[in-house]
Amino acid sequence: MRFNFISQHKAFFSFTILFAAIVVAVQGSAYYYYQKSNSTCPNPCQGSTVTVETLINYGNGTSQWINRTDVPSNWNFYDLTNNITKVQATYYGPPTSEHLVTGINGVQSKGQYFWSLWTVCQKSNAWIATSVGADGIHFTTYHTLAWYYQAASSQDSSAWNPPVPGAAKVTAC
Amino acid sequence: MIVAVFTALSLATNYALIGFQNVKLMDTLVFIVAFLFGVRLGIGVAVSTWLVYGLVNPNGVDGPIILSFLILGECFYALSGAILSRTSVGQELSLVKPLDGSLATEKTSVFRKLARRIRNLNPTRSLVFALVGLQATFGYDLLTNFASWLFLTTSLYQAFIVGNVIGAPFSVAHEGSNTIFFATVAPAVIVAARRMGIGFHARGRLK
Repeated sequence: MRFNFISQHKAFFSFTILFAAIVVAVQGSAYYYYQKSNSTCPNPCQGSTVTVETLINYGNGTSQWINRTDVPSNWNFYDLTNNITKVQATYYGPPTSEHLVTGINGVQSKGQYFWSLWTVCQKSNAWIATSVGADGIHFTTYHTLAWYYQAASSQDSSAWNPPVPGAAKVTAC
Repeated sequence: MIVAVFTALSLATNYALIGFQNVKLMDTLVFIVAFLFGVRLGIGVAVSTWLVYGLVNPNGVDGPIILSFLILGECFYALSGAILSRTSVGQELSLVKPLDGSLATEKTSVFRKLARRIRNLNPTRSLVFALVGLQATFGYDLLTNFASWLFLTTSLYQAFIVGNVIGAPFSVAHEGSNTIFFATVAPAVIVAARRMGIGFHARGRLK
């Protein structure tokens, strides 16, 4: 009966199953590429350390620069933040496997106020709101980063203020 | 009335599932409304749900441009529901056998009744809804991942590629969960609606 139904609608089932297979292949490739590009630092830098400057701007006029010269190069920025501050975060398991940082040193996200994540784009020497979360940032590309507690009326990061008042800001690096 | 009820249902489930990224029943509900009542009501639920959920959201408020892309993407579910309901496959799949009267009267255990109901499920129906749900979700993810990067990259092509690679983990969660919801929730609701005489097919309007 069921096979009869499928054979009556061969064209429909052929098209939908083929298209679904393409969807799975495309999405699987994108996910694989994401995981690969997001994996920890390649072999040459394993075991070495890097220097990372971190700015924490509490949004009330108080800012703090933390310079560390001994950051293991296979850490990500969440690991570093967790090491140098007291972090409150919500962990989301696979497939995203990342942390949503909700508080740093007791300053919690509240209403429109949240912790935005910034880095210095070397090419243009300007601040840029990062496109990925702290777990996705490795120190092969970025060495100056910032957490900025600010209010935002939109998720569009081009409308946000840079962590250093008056500093240059770009939307693409 | 239908738009209001399903919008409320979508919002309630969205907020209840706020802790699960990209796992939402809303898409399935929009599909069901369009399948049962037509594309206009499906789009009505899609638009009204996003107007509330996009602007009142603990994870942040969407800007007008991204919100319009989200609404447009949500309409894919309404379109796919309406299109499927008009195909001969959709119409045949929404036909149901009358309920076995013994299920209600016979003195059997809950598990035995459940097992009998599971045996009566139509896997072809679940397969079709799952495939259609997967494809509509893929379209939604491609569009909204692209929109997220529209103004943050130097070309449209770059926005499309970067958005869809960085958004891949979210797309995987979204497409995986929607495939399961479309295979289970959508056929169950559509069959129940048909048995209660609700919807276009039940009233035979499309014949």
